[in-house]
Amino acid sequence: MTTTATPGDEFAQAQRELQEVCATLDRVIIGQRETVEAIVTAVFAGGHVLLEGLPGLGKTHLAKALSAALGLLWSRVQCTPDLMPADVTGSEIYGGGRDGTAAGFVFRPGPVFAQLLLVDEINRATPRTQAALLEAMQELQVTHAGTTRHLPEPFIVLATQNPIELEGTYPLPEAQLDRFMFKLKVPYPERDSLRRMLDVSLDAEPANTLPAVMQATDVLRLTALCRTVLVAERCKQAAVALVLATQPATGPTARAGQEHIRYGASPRALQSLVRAARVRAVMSGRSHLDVDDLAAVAQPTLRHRVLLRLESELEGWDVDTVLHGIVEQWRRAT
Amino acid sequence: MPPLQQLLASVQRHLLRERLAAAARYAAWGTVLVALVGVLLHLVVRPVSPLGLLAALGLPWLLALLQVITTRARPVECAAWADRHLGGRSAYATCLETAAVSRDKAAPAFAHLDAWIAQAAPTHLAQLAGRPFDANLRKPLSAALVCVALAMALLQLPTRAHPPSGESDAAANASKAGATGQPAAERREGSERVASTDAPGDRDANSAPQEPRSDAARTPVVATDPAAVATDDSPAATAETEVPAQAAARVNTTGREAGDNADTGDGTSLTAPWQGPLAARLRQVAGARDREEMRADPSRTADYAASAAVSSEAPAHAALTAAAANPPPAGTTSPLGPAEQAYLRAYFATDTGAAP
Repeated sequence: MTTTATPGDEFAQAQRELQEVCATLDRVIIGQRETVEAIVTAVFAGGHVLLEGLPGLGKTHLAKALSAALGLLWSRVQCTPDLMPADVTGSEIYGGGRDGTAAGFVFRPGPVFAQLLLVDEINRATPRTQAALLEAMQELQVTHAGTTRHLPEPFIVLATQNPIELEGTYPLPEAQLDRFMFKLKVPYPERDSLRRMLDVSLDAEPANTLPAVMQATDVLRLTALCRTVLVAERCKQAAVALVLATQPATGPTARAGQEHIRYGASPRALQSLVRAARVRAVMSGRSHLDVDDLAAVAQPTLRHRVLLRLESELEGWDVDTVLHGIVEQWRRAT
Repeated sequence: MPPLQQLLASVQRHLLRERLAAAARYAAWGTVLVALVGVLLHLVVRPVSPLGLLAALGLPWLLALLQVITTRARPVECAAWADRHLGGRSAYATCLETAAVSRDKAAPAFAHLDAWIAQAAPTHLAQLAGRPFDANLRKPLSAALVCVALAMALLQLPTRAHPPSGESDAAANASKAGATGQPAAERREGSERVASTDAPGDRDANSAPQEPRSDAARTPVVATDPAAVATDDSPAATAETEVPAQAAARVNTTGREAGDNADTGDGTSLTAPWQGPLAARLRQVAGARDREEMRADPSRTADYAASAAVSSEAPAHAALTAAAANPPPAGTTSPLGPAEQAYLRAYFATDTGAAP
């Protein structure tokens, strides 16, 4: 429902801006409407996104288009097993002495010093490099040689994973996965989307010429506005109930799906859930949260934070199926 | 009135209607249950009066009405209902919760919320007005009416506690006869005890002969005089013969009527020992004999010779209980009566050891 905008109605303006961003991305990212909306939701909720999909589905293309649409400074890191932490955060090199500058060690910032960072195949980097990157994601700063350098704002990380060719990779541990707000599975496009893709991106890279619909300051403004969305007690209780429903339990009091879970969602997941739902509310033209907004962001928020039991995995259960059942039951109860 | 308050008032009225309908449904099914229980009680345990059943049937309705009156939908509940069923999307609940909160921090959010409610509330009001309301009372009410009618009809049927009217009248008459017979026997025994203590002065003198007399008087009752039993056709005897039948009938019945309790009634019900054939014949004989026959006649002097001839135990009793007496002085002018003569004979016989 779109409310009639009144002068000075910031939420109506915000809704229009968010819808414009999604529409701009839809022009260059064909057949990924849900993925685009989820990424936009995570960006304006101040979170990072982990994209999982087969090669060639446009994950890099999506990151470039997003940075162009939002007017953000973006950089890319291609993870390999020999990637060092300094390759990500930056390092000091001896230089200077030119143009009247004194010679000495100069810090060269790494690709992490960008507003939108694309980390390709993060599971190929060594755990040490992963830790350096994830520390920057958490602290929004880099400390090198005793000097702390803050990362630019906004700082958004889009990390990608390849679900195949897992030999020689270093899967992210659960503690590190928890730092991503969303984990999105990029689906294979449908026939019509593939046909349209030929018209859009056959001979050119549309992301390179995509016009910016806002600037970094607008991103910060909208992010701050989304944090003022009103949350009723009923919605808070519903969010807590959903997170608790993902905890492991057995016996007659266990709900559907809980018997398959080894580890459930953390309190950080609860915060991510409400923050992302707020952005959904603004995108729907409301300044108050609803339970439907929580349900819309439940799957991507909880997918990578819930660990199944080995026996359930061997029986063929996957996280998405279990979470789907839990969310359905929770939705009927609220 | 602001649109939010209008909507909440309408929702409250709607919820009240729903609660009334639900209460009526529960009361109707409760009526069915009470009717069934009443009929079962009437058939198995004890008779139930139609008025009593009607009074019990009113209880579920009273409880349902009390529940509706005491529980009213609060504004928070009305807002939650509107959010869930009218598409409020938690707006109304959020507005109520934040009503008391300072709006300075998130002024744009509150302004947008108010605008959203102002735009959506009329639509939701119209949606509520057009919402069909189905009380769903037809089935429970019809079931209740049918069960109540059946229960009233079943209460009129005779049960084992309430046999048909002819049998019940005979049973009532027998119970009345038994009521007169048993207390009469009790009073008879009591009067005998009273007669034995009526003359304190003669107590020592007459206690010995009176005991055999009382035993003699009582013995025919205990020994069951067959002549008396066979030839006595008095109404009392007839009534007494009906007592065992009535008692047997009462024993075989499965119900009781008011007034049958031996503790509260006039003692017309007979316990098991008094329902046997021996006790029945006892009562028959006791009822056949005239009460006056058992009562001592103070105007009539005792006939020791007759009493001694009747009972074989009399001489023994007489021998044991003969006490020294002070006979009146003998004289030619004072004739001796038969009793006095017998006394003198007995006295001299014991004194001289010669037979009288």
